[in-house]
Amino acid sequence: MLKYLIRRMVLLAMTLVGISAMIFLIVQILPGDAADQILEAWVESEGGAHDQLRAQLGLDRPWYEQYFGWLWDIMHGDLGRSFAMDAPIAPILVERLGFSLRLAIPALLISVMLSIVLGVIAAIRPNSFVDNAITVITLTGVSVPAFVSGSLFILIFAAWLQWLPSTSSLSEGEGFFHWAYVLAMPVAVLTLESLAHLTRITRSSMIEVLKTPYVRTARLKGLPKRLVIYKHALRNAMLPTVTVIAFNIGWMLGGVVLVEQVFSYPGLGSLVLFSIEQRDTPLLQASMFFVAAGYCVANLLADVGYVLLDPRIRYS
Amino acid sequence: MSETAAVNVGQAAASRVVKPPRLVPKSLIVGGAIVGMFLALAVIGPYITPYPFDKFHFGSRLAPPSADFWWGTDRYGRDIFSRVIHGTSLTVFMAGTGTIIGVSFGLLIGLFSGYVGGWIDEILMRLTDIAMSFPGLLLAMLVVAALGSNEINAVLSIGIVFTPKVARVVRSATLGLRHIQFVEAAEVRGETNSFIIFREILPNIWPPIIVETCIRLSYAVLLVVALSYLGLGAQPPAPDWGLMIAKERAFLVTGPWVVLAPAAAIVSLIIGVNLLGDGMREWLAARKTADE
Repeated sequence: MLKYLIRRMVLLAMTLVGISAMIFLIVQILPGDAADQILEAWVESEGGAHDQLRAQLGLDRPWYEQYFGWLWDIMHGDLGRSFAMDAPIAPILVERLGFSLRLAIPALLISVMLSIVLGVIAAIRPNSFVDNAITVITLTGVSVPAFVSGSLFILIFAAWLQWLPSTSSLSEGEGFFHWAYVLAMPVAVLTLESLAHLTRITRSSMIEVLKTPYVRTARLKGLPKRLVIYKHALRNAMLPTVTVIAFNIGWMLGGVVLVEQVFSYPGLGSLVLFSIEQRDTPLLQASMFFVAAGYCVANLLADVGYVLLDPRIRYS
Repeated sequence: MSETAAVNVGQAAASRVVKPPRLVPKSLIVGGAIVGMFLALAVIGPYITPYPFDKFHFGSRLAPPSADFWWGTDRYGRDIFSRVIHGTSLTVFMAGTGTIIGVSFGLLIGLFSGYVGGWIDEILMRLTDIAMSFPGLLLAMLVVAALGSNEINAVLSIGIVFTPKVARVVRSATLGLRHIQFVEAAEVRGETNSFIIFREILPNIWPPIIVETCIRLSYAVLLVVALSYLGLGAQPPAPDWGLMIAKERAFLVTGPWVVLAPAAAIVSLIIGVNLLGDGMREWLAARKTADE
C-alpha cells in the first residue's frame, strides 16, 4: 500500500508538471502579450513604454526562463500577480474556491444520498414503472445543460413564484438560513446535473451485485430482503460509485462555471471566465492550474479510497 | 407423417430459440428520428423559415407568440421561430464537426498507440492523462481563449477535448486484439503495420467506436451551447441557441419565450442524441450476444 501511494504521488507530481507545461504552452499562443493589454488603455503610449513594461513584467525573457520561473514560483506557493485586479493571485483563488465549495459540497452530498436511494429503488425492480420513471428523470438530467435548467429555475422560482432570489450574492456573517435561501437554486441545479450519472451507475452496479451468489445465499438463509439489500449488497454496489463521485468533483469544478454564470455567483468558474475576458494571463494560468490540480488530487483520493474500501484489489 | 411434422415444428421452435429476431431497441428508433429531424432542419431549415433570422420588426418587439410570430419575437423584434430554425444548422454543424475531428484524431492515436506499444504508447498515454486532467469545458475555454472566440475555434477546442478520451477507448479496444490469432497471422505473413491496423484491427473494433462517437456527440452539443452561452463560441448576431439564451436573459421575465424556445431546442436535440447512443449501445450488445 505504501509503495502504491508513493508511486501514485510521484505520478501526480509528474502529471502536475505536465499540466503546467500544457497551460503555459496554450496561453503562449494568446495573441499579444499582457503588456499590449495593459497599454491598450493609453493609445498614445510613448515608444519606450511598451518595452519598459515588458521588462518590468519579465516578458522580455526567453520562454524557458519564463516557464521555469513560473513553475519554480508555483512550487513555492507564489501564484503571481493579477494584472486586471492588481493584487496577488493566491488569496483571490482561495476566496473564490471557498465560494465554489459552498456550492459544490452541498450539491455533492445531496446528489450522492439521493442517487443511492433512487439507484437502489430502480435496481430492485428493473424495468418496472418506478425504474422507467427514474430512467426518464435521469436522462432528462443529463440532457439539460446547467444554464438552461438554471434559467428555468429562475423563471419559475424567482420570477413567477418569487420564492427565491435570482442572483446569489453572499456576504460574510449572515446566518445559515440566509445562505440556504440564497444558494438553494444553484445547489439544486448542480445536484440535478450530477445526480443523473451517479444514479445510473448505482443502479447498474446494484443490479449486478443482486445477481451474485452471496446475495442469494443471504436471502436463502432467511435474512430479510431489506437487510440484504442495504447491508450486504449496497456495500459492494457502492464501489463503482466512489470513482464516479471523484469524477463528479472534477466535473463540478467545470460545470460550476455555467451555474456561477447563470446566478452571477463569484466562484472559481467565474474567475476563470473573468481572466479570459480580461486577457489576464497570470490569473488565467494560475486558476486553470488550480482547477486541474484539484481534479488530479480528487482522482488520486478516489483511487486510494477504492483500494481501502475493496480489499480484493491490491495494486502492484 | 404426423411425427415428421412434430419434428419440423420442434426444429422450427428450436431454431427460433437459438436465433431470436434482432429487435431494434425503441430508444434507437426514437433517438434516430429526433436526430434525423434536426439534421433535416439543419439542411432545409433556412429555406422554410417565415423570416430571415436577422430581420428586425421594430413594431413588434418582445411580442408574445402569435399567428405572425409563432414563438414570439426578441427585443429587436426578430422572429424567434426563424432564429431557432436557422440556429439548428449552426449547432448541428459545430457539434458534428467537433466530434468528427476528435474521433478521427483519437482513432488514429489510439490505434497506433495500442498496436505499436512500448515507449511510444507510454508517452502518448501520459500525454492523454495530462489532457484529461482538465474538466472538459475548462480545457475548451482555455483553447478558445488562446485562439479567439468564434465558431471555428470552438469546434477545434471540442476536437482537442475529445481526442484523448477517444484515443483511450480505441487503444483499449486495440489492445484486446493485439495478440489475437488473425492479427499475429498477418504479422507472420509480413503485412505492413498500416495494413494490420486499418484492415485487420479497425474493422473489428467498430462497435465501441460507434458507441463512443454517440456519447461524444451528446457532449459536443453540450459544449457548443455552453461555449456560446459563455460568449466563447458563435458571436452576435448569429442565431446560436446558447448565445440567444445568454443575450436575451434579461427579458426572461417580460418575455419568457425568448429563452424557452432555444432551451427547448437544446434539450430535445440532446435527448435525441442520448437516446440514439443508448439505443445503439443496446443494439450492438444484443447483436454481439446473438453472434456468439
